[in-house]
Amino acid sequence: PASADDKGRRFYEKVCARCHEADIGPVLLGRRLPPVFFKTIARSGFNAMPAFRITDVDEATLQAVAEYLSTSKPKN
Amino acid sequence: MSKYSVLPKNVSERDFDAAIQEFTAILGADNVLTAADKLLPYGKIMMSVATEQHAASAVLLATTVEQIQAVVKVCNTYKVPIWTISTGRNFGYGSAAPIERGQVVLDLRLMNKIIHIDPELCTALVEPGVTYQQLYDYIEENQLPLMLSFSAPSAIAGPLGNTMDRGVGYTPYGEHFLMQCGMEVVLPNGEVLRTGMGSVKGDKAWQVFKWGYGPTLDGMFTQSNYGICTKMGFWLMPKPPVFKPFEIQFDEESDISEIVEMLRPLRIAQIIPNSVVIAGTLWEAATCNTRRSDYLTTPGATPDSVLKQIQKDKHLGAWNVYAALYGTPEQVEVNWKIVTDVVKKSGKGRVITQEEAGDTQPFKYRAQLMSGVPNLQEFGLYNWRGGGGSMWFAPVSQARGSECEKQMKLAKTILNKHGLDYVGEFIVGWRDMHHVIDVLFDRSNPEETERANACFHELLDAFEHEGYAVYRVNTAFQERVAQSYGQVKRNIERTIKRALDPNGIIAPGKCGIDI
Repeated sequence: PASADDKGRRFYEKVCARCHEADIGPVLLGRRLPPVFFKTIARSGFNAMPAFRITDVDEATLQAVAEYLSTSKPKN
Repeated sequence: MSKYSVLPKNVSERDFDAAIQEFTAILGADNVLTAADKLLPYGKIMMSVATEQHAASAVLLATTVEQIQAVVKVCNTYKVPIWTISTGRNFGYGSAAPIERGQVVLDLRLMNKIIHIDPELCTALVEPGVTYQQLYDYIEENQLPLMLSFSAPSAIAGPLGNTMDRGVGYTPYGEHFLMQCGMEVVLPNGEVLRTGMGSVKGDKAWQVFKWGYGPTLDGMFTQSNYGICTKMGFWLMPKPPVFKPFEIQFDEESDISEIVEMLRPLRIAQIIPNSVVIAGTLWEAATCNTRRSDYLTTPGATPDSVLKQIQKDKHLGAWNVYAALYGTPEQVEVNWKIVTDVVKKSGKGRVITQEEAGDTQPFKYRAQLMSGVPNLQEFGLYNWRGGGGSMWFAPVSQARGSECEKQMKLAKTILNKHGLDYVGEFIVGWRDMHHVIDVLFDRSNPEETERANACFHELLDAFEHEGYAVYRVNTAFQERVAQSYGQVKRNIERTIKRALDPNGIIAPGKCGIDI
């Protein structure tokens, strides 16, 4: 069974990384920002970034993504 | 103070309360959203108008046809207007927000079953919430010999919503509505209609024969508000043994006319079978992560001298043609010779193969889109100016060089006059062009947003004056564009609307259609 951390990482890689690992959105890995930051931006959208509805990503998954990102190591 | 941040037009708070209560009984409390923080993501728009103009009063999450039927019934009782979204990724056309302030969003994203994929007949039947990524994963996991076609937001968008707005892709199946076959629609009176062969008892041909018998209605439900699509069938392209993407770069803006004349015969004869793209410099630059601020900090239109510098720095053409060949090695070889001979004979254009381009952008993402591999690389467009402002201005054109050149010059002149850039591409059909122009602006800057709004109006007016109209538009301009197509068309649309939806509950205002 996948841990909460896996769930967050998996969603990040499937959706967020398509921009955030492609120089389209800013780097998120290793930023050490609090989970609430990631959750707020995802729900409201921000400038060029679209908003993610509860039907795009449910609360538990978004929480897992936010926790994964806030504790992630910088890439390389 | 009301417990709702906004009410639907002409609905009292008392009636809305009663409707919400009934919606809750049908869907459960978790699937009826009215709190401001829950509605927030539905309000993210990229248009040049105030966010409040497109604020939803509530959101309903439904997962079954029966729930939708019950919802429609309540809407009729209290005259509550609903705005249906499938995956809701209609960026540049209104996103997930309703056309009119106060409408209730019916979000079908969770209704996401892939009902059927037939690898022999090469057909699919899906629910509204199915995304292209979900289909892609399904096809990969089951190793099906099939290929998808999709718009650039591929990974997060879906076939049903895209086709309902008659969107396009980049493979030989790129004209999505053309490849659509069979539709299920909940009508405003709650009845369920299946188009084509779908209403024949015991039928097996719903996804293989489009027309059925008598009037064929599928088209009537696209870009309209006559029903809620709950299932859609479409054809899938068999995966060819060989896929050969390529690019042809042209150095001068004035080459557009010759490019189009060169491509048209190849497209009509299906030597090049896919929806080819002819992308301008700035479209190219933005999709390989170039930002305007890398070159300029002053506001206004980007001067031609800077465009030339970008071309040089990023190894781009003024026009960049992306196309592909599909088939057996022999078929591809024959057609490759025909294509390269045509280019050689023209004396213009550098052919770039996949081997030469390697893993570089934007070639890589173009090759992926032309072979049905999802990516979001094209969202780099939104970084050109940044700030979250984007509206698609997409006039239809003949695939004729002189016409394309005329449209390009007209658009560029108007955009530059308003301090904005021509960021455009032509998507080449057999005989038509979707001339797709991204009107990009910094929406966090009120003055620039106002300019973008004036610019979009002027683009519509000036193009209309020359006999051109757009194929699709954002929700702030749908009433305006309906006017381009004349009163007779609008009258018949209203007559149909009144007949099917006498209470005007399904997305009133969509494409300018209301009771």
